[in-house]
Amino acid sequence: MEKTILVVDDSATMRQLIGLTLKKVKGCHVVEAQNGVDAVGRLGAGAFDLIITDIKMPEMDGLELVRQVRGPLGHTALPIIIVTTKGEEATRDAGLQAGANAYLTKPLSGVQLVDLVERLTAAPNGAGVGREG
Amino acid sequence: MEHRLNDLEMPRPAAANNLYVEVADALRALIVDRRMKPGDRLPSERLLAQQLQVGRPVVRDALRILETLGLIGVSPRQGSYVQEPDMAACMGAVVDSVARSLSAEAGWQEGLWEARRILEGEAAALAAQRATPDDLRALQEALARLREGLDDAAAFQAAERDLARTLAQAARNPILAGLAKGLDGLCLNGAPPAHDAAGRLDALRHYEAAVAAIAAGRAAEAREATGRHPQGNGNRQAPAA
Repeated sequence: MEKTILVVDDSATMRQLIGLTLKKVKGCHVVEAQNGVDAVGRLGAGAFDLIITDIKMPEMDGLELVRQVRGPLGHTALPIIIVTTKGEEATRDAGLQAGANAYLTKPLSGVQLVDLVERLTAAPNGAGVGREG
Repeated sequence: MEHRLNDLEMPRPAAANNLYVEVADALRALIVDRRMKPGDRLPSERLLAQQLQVGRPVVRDALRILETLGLIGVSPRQGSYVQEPDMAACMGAVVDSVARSLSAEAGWQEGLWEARRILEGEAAALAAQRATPDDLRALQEALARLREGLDDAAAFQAAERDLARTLAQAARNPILAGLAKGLDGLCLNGAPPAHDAAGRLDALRHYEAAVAAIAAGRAAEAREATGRHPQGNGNRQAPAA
């Protein structure tokens, strides 16, 4: 089954790196966005199975993106993974509070990323998937 | 052999903050913007650390990421150097970038589908002239997956995309392959409803005719069969009666 994943990060390197890692997930197709505003545009143009978003980004950060997705955009069931940096625990908690399903901490582990993506896209509406550390 | 700290080829940098990403971004920009060209050697780790005013572990982590992405190679004696680009990946990125800027324009999705159909037709014509035995085998396998998916709309759609990519590869033109890859991703974003059962059968017949024409080296016939196939619903050319 095809899975379309929206990877949101202002770093082209990180987007490419995540895309490369997700090639390990069968049937996975990655669409990139540079920040929250770009991501909102992408979400309006197509259907996605999962969002992976960085937090610190210009124009619209990851927290606001989560709020937009869960609020005005109405994607209440679309799984969201937030990517945080060590030391950003408060931001991470705010992201989960806003409706993110799980978080990953940089430096990212390829195994964790693949595992989490597979679980979140397999479980209907992200059900049964716990928070990640 | 370069030691890797990563799992699944994703580097696990020692630095916990984002500095290594910023350094990787800066070096990546030099390569992608062609300010550094394939074969050019990067300054040593020590010099880069001095110039960028960061620690050597940060530079090392950044270089490891660039190596994982295939942008640089590392030779134990000569240090890091810029790799030849993967043309298909570059073209995919170009298409994506152009389409991103056009995505607010009216009719852009129809334009994408039209471009894809034109590309597929021309790729089929070139494939008829250039396909290798391996290409023909891959096309037959892709066709078999398409047949298997006849009763399942989602499986058929996935197999159809797979066949389109295989077709572009068989044209033996890296630019076309890259364009096809980029357009494929963009079309998926605005994917129309899948074929109904009759549409799937029509598409399969067109693809069978195209692959047969490619195998027989009949370029015009391959172009016509591919260009006329129905490609899902909406904004598509109807198949020939």
